[in-house]
Amino acid sequence: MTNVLLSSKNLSHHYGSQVGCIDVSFDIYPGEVLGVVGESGSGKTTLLKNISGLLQPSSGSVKFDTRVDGLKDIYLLSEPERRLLMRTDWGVVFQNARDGLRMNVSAGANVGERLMAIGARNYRDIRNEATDWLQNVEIGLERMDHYPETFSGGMLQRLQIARNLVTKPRLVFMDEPTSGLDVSVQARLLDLIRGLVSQLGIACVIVSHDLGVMRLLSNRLIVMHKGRVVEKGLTDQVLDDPQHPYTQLLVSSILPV
Amino acid sequence: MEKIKDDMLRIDNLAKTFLLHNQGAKKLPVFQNISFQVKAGECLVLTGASGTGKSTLLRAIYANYLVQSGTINIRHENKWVDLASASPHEVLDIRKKTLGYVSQFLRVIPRISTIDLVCEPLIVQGKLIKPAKAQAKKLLNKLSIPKSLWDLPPATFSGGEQQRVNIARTLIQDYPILLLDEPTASLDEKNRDAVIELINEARNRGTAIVGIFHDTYVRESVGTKMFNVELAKKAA
Repeated sequence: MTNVLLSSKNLSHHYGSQVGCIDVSFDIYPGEVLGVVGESGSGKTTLLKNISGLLQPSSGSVKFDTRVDGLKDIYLLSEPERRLLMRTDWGVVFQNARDGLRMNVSAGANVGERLMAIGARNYRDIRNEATDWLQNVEIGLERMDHYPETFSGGMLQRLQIARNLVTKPRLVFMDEPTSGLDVSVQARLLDLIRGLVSQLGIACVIVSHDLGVMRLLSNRLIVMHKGRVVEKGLTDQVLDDPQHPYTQLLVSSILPV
Repeated sequence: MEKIKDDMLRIDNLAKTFLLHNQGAKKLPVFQNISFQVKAGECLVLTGASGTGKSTLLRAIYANYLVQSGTINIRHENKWVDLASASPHEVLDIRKKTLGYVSQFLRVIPRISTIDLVCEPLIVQGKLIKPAKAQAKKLLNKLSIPKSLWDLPPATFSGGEQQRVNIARTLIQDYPILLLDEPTASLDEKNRDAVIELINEARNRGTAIVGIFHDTYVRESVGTKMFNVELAKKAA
């Protein structure tokens, strides 16, 4: 078995007296997709922020397998070390693509600047790589020099994914990557994410309340309820034979099409 | 000693109960004390009336359902692994290399072409796209899926066509152990015979098979032994 990529131990977060998440522990291995489901307010996004270095948890630890020193607590790294990690080994895909893109530079530059951030300097190489990635996410090259402001919601989300994957991160965090998109765009995006993740062997943590998305994308599932993990296991097992009352309710509430 | 070597799958004292929390904690016992072994090259047919838990048993063996007690020992890369207590990562690895499952219905990502769906298991294994596609085409031909459909997603196909795509998706790989849930249920005679041939080819290669077949003809053509789930439940 390969080494753990990211390990969360007894993670808790409180907003004053409000509970974010309580006592969450799990490991992520290279190349696997971990889904986090639960209703809104169950602590999914708090957890995602905690493990992606955006929000220091109230207690508990988040360790990442750094290239040089192996497993290290990300909140004990120095600020420059953590920023380097976020630029190189991690990607974050936000629910609202505008949060993850720079709206005042062109689509091509949005992808290219991530390469520059890790040291690429040759303009032609950067442009070629950006071109490849826009093609990967099915954005027409005639749109390369346009501002994201002129893009549709689905295109923005695909651009955000290209911006994140261009540096070939080892771990990508995605917060509701397909919600807010119409279903036809959603299906294409799901296929795209799945293809890219399996081709590049990227590990992924995906937060979503859409169980259909989870069945197709994730290998393993964590179910959150009122800040706690109430069930975890193989995705198909959790969805087909849920054990916890809340998961049973969640699964039985899916509307048939 | 030789006999023990041949076993591929060993089920011991398996029990499954569904607990429905949101229906007043209703308990639905499905089966208990189920035990059997399957050797390489054998095809065990699960029998019993509809609703006796044959599909549930098959899903439990695939670790799709959790069991309350008992063990499901699988011979995986020459080691015995108990699926009932294996970690999710072990289960995924076993499903990838050792244990194949043909479900009753096809469930896949929308908008992916049939040919890509069928060769996907080989691509995941690291096989190159070209030989994988060639193999997929051969199989689709054998199962009489018209060439004109290969580039289309199977969502609009007939029930029988979808079922054959589902079979192709699993049988494209040489799994040492196969679980088949009614693979011929909605097929006409010609396609039924093609599936029987594929199953028997796999069995002759040494695949251990557990299957549910309602059709007596299919049962007699592929089965080498029977296991009556209903009687086993009564005995328990």
